[in-house]
Amino acid sequence: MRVSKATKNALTATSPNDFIFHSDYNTFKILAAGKVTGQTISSTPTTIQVNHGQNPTIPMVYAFIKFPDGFVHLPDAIEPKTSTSTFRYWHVEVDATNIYFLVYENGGNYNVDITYYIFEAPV
Amino acid sequence: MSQRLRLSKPNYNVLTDTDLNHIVFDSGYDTLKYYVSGSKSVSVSSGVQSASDSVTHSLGYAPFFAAYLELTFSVGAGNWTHVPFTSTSGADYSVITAYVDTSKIYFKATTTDSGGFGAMTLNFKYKIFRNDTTLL
Repeated sequence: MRVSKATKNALTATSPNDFIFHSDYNTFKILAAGKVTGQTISSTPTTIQVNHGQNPTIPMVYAFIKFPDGFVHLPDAIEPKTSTSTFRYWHVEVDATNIYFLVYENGGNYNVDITYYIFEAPV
Repeated sequence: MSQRLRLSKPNYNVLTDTDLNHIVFDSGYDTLKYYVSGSKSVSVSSGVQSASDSVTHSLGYAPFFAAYLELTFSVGAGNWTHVPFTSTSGADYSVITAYVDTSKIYFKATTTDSGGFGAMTLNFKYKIFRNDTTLL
């Protein structure tokens, strides 16, 4: 089954980028998505743990965090505040059972929300 | 019973197979949906500790996104790496990252080095998907 982009010929196109969907190519399925809200970051790190439900598979995980600055950031983003002191930082780990969001406090409690996606492809 | 569209790989039974790796498409599972991709260059002046720029996406929510940085340093010029990208020099560190709000994707470089960055241009590529993170 082939569904091409507009102006592309579904019968003759050969580039995968010309297709919206092509059954010869597997799709990157999202098995589950979830959200944790109002998590108070009060230590360094504060670890937020979520059971991903894929045991014993270690799934590929992609996540986003809303920091108090009102923006949505990727894992391992660091926002330096001064040359010597506070910064915001977070990190994501996964094992066969859980996803761990490690969020670093570094100078004052704050709250975060996190949205995560669990993908079909195992690590 | 709800309707479901399912396509299996060749030689697998689409009706009975329980291994999702044998299924090319299953409407029971969400997928990432492309919205837009593009590139953005951010000029960094000599001596500044922070530089940023943005591109408007106008989705009205914080979307799922990914961004890449062209390396003009590190392993090799012309290589690309996923951001956030962090590099260190002594006790100082520099971070090049991307983040979003409901209207824009932002690209930002910051350093703790009191001498700031050297003059450079940071080349980014980004992909924004229609999937809503529901964080904003």
